[in-house]
Amino acid sequence: MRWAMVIDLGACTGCGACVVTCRQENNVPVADEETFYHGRNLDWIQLEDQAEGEYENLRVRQYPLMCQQCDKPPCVKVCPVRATYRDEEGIVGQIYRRCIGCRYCTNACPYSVKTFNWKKPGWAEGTERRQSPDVSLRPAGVVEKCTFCHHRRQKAKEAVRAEGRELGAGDYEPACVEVCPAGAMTFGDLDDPSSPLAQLVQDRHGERLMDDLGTEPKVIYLRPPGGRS
Amino acid sequence: MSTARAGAAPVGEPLAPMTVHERAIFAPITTTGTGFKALALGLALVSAWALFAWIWQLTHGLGVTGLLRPTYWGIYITNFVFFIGVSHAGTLISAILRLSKAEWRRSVTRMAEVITVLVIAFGAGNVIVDLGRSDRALYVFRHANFKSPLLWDICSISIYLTASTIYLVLPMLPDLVRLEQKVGGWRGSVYRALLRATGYRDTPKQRHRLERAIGVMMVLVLPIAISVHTVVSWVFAMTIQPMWHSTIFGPYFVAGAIFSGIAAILTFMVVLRRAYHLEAYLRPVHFDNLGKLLLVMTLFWLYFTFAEHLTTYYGGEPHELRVLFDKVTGRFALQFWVMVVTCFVIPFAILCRAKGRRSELGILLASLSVNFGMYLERYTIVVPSLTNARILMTDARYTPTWVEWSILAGCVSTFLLLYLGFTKLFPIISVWEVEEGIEHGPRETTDRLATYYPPMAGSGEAP
Amino acid sequence: MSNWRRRDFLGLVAGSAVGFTLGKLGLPALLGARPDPASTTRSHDGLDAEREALGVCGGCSAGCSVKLRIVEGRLVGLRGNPLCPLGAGGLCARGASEVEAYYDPDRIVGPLVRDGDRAKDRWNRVTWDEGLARVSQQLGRLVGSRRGARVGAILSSARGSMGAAVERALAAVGSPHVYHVDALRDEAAAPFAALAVGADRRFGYDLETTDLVLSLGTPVLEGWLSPAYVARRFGQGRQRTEARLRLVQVESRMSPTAMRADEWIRCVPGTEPLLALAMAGVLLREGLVDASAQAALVGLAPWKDAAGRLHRGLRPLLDYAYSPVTVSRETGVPVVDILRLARMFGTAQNPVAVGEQTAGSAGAFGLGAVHLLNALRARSGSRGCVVTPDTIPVTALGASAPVEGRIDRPPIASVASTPVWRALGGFETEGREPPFDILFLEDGAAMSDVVAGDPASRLLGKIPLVVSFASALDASTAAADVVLPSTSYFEQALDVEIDAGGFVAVAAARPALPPLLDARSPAQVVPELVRRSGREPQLGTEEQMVRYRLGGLYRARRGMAYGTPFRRGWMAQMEEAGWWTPASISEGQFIDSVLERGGWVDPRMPRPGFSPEKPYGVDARGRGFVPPAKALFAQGAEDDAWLPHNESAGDSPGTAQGMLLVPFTVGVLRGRGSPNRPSLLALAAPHVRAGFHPWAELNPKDAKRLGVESGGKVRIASEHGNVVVSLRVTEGVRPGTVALANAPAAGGAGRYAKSWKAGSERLMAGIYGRLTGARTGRGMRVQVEAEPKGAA
Repeated sequence: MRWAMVIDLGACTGCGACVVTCRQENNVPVADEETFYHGRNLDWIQLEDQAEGEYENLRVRQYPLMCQQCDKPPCVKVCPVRATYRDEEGIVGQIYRRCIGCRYCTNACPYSVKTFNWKKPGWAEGTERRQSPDVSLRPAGVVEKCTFCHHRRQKAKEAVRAEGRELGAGDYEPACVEVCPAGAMTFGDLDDPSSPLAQLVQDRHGERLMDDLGTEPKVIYLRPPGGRS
Repeated sequence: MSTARAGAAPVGEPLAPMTVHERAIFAPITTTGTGFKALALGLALVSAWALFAWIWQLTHGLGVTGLLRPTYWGIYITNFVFFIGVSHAGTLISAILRLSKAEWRRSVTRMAEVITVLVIAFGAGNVIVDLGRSDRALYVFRHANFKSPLLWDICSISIYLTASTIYLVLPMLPDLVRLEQKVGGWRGSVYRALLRATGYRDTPKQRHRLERAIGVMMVLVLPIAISVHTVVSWVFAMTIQPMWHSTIFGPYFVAGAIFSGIAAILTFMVVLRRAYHLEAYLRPVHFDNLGKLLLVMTLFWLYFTFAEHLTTYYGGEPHELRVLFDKVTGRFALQFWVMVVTCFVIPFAILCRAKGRRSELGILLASLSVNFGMYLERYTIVVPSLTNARILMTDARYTPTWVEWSILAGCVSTFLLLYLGFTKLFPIISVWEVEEGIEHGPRETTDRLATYYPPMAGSGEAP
Repeated sequence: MSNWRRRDFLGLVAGSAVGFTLGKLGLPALLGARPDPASTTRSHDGLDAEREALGVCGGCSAGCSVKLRIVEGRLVGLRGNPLCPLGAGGLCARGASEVEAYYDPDRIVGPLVRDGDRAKDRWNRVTWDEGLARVSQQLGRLVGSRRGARVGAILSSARGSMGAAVERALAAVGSPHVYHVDALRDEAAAPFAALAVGADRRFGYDLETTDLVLSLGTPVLEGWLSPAYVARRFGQGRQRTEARLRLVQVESRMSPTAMRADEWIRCVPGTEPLLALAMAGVLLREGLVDASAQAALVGLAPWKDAAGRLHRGLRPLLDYAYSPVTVSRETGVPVVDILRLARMFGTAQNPVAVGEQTAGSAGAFGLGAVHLLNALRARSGSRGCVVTPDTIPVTALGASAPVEGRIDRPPIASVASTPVWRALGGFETEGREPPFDILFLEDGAAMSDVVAGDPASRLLGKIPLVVSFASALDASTAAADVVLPSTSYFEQALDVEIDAGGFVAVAAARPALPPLLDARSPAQVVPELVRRSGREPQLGTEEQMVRYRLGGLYRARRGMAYGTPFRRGWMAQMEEAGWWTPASISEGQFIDSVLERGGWVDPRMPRPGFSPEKPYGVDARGRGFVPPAKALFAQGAEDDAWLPHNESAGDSPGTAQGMLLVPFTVGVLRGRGSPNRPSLLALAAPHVRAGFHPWAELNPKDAKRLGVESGGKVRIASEHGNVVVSLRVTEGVRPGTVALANAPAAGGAGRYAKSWKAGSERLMAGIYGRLTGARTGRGMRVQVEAEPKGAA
């Protein structure tokens, strides 16, 4: 079983609900103006874009970018303490208690999707009340990134164990997938050829970001049909 | 009589007289001027400030630096690579020179080896300072992942430090014996303690074993030293980042390390010669020869740099080109071109003339210029590739803050402080080797030269 | 020890065992005591530690139903209600940020009274009694002297229980003045939809089956209509294989909507309605519209009015003034593209044209041109996307206020009303006294049409007592004397009428959380004030009001509580056949089920197509589309002035030079509620990496000419004002134009939002569309120059 995500860029409206929800779900600290302009905004998912051309023939493709959960993660190779690792379900995890903050993995990731806590995450007075109890708070000096909402996977595992069965695709989905109002995100098991995810990938010829680098990412983007941008 | 060792001065008895060379070389140990004290105080203040800056960083987090996303490495990693590079001064040079039996090395080896041993700590120290969680630094041993180039780094640097320390201490032992006999006071007890720990008494048998040990070490140290900076370069080259993922990095970094190492030795030679009045031992020929080596390394450096950048340009890969143009004509152009001038133009201009090589000022200028330029080289390797990540996340620029500069200054000042401390405790020139050279050098050299050519007629040797 | 005997040893062992056991279990356990119940419920694993509740999102006036995740009494997560007809489980970014807004660290903690005059920013914290007394004193005075009509309220919420309560309360003191301002809709859209489709203010777009959305400048995907609904329909439409949705965006700037459009038509800013007119002409000329459709629309062909005057009609005007060649010259769009778009629109199965803009209006007549396209196609083989849903049959809380007392703006008073702020500004420009002695403002979004320095804001300064219900410091508190902070929607029992998407629906919820701070809902505060001033509004608690209103739905024997699409489908069939199954439960049970599922919906709406009895384009009174329909304009002004045409901002003289201004909306910052949302402020414009403060965009050629760079500052000046903003250089801006972010009410005093000072709205002060008074700004010219660093 390998968890993967398909994002239909033809359906994505760029609303940013996934960004806001991920922040709330995973206790990612917010940035104020100074942090934002210093390039220190922590985002586990964000809207990135590729633009080409000039005004007369400009094409811009904007897409949500989060950890691509590579099958051959460059970040896992270089971590000196094995604080980032790929588990048997294909999710690249991060052990906050072990990370020494050397930031080698953030530099090895070609997608630049790993973020670092430059200081102790600040929670303005009263806002700590909205922290979700399911996700641990990270201290200063460690790296963090999208985990495909692994806390939801844990909960789902416990739930299906109580039901006496194994975890299957469709038993859980990350917060971003759940909240997307356009229904542009699909989550599931890449190894199951009958899953809607695998069929989407097949029918619509999804592409992966920078797949010539050999990282084998598991976030697949579908171009809008008709070929524009 | 007492159970005193042969040649050892019993406690309380007067010290043995020094030879002419010992007097000159041990002088810095026995006398300390006010200039030295003032300098030491100044350096100590800088080091204390740097300590404060580090504590500031520990309490406030790495946010006090100018680092940001995606430029996650900056001054600290530059320092790390730079200091490890400088460490190639001693061990490599003295090992190569010993191996090639260059007689002029005798005055130079000790001061070079000390640089190595001391500066490695600052290289490794900068990595620890750079960690987000310095308190977890020992996890690299507990949870070691040997697939990571950083782990290779740790292994090779540890081995290098061990080997260099051995390689420094071994040739120091005969000098320690002399020191113990001829220098008293608290220093005497230090020497005695060290000698007792090693059990070295400078008997002929021990001396013979020592020289064999040095012979083994000087061979061993070479591959270790080369591996160290190669492995440091692989921290970058093993990633897939544009302009990092380059096969030339291994040789490039080693050549650069030797380059900056020689420059460091030269700087120290000029300064120590003046400060400790060692003109008789550090003669123009030393500067000339090392200057020639530096010249050769300048040309090597130019060759590697040119090859690296030309292949990138010609290849035309868009992400790499972005980094390349940022370095050559973009936001890092100033650092890049100053680097070229200080690493090549200035040293070449000075060192290609014998007069330049033999003048103290010329050597000083050239060596300082090279070290400054090599620092910039490390910086322009680390930062532009990160700033031009494949996926740009921000328009913000990395600008080092006072914390980072303070820690750099503190590394330099602490290193100098430790070095100066060394010179006050141990001779900065290897006395026994100098005296050995003066005594046996000409004969051995003549004998060796004779084996190069066919034997003279009538000498009785077989052709 | 060798003296021990076995007996002693056994005793020692036994004693230790007993002691050990006692120590482990505890004496109370041995004595039969039971564990303390309170200690188990304090456990984090307790069954009641986590619960789910339903609520209505307060981020904008659309009224999405949301699910709250509450852990130990704290709100820690928000999802869409899968049964909500708008979002069906999805949320827009603003909705997702409601958790953040709920715990806004700069929320107002309790009633405030201003210390000193309005220029100072000092407040005193007072008790509710004191705050209410401050207001009720004045109110009592007005009531006593029979001048109760001099009280007004301007709300940012959609129509619903809160608005109804305020209306009824103010009616009890004799004031009809309750107005709603919708931050997500173009104020001029309503009147021209009235003219075009016979709709009153309540009209929506049903995008379920549309296969072509032709957007003439509308930021369709950025904070328009109901962002969650539009995103859902857009996503569905794009993922269909048959009749797949195409989006054509006509705009001068590469907005996030244009990025995702199938086609981006680059036109000169402000000229989008011209394209609509040219396209209409092509549709008519090329016979892409049925003759019957043409006949049904009054005013296309030349016609005679009752007085016998011959009116030119629209068709000849389209032919000679808006031919593709002429329009191509004005708009910069090639003729082939105009023809192609028109044909595309004419042959699509179910196209819709939208022209509403949230950053300044295209002007009423421009919108008329856009609706003309819709009207032409709606009678011609297309189901139609502009829908005019029926009125929601909630029980009215009080008689609706008489029209005569309202601030009205003839000449089209009977179908539409000028934006209220424009009307208030009219008082100022005409030198009249302000109509109010007390004005209630719900929050900063209610003031989104007010700009510092314009007549409305000057008039606001003259109103003696301004009361704000905002929960965070924003534009309304800056103008207010007393702040009576409102609770969050999640803390209220409320209902909100939904009109986006053509639904006939009401979102309703009980309070999900107890009030976090010392705040109270306006639905309670205003009636309380009225009571203290001596009148009895006859209103109960919030929940009573909601139940009362929802009772009307039961008595109308319509609709159902929110349900799954399957359930909605078969309930609709049942209703069509005349069966209404909820009749089997009591009214109370029905209302409970509505509250438990998040709301009520009539599953038959939006109705597909229009029945012959109610043709699109002709309302119940028989008025047709194209003005000057007979009843409306008696003055006999020139025909052309009243036909759909392009209103440019050329009304302002003296600005013939300079760059064209393109104000654009920042979608996530439009809406209501607290502006202090760091997640949204960081999301303002990912593609140019801007956020937290307004910015302008220039094409690289213009930037080079002016000598400015990305990140530098520019000063943009019109004759109405100037702004200094930071600059982003991007290829997405048409050369010769400058784009300027527009998000009124996005700024506040909160730690995150404090840098959001005015954007483009300041430059557009004073430019209003002639017919509706909505602010227009597209196409006006401004001066742009570099602003040296260090200047304020």
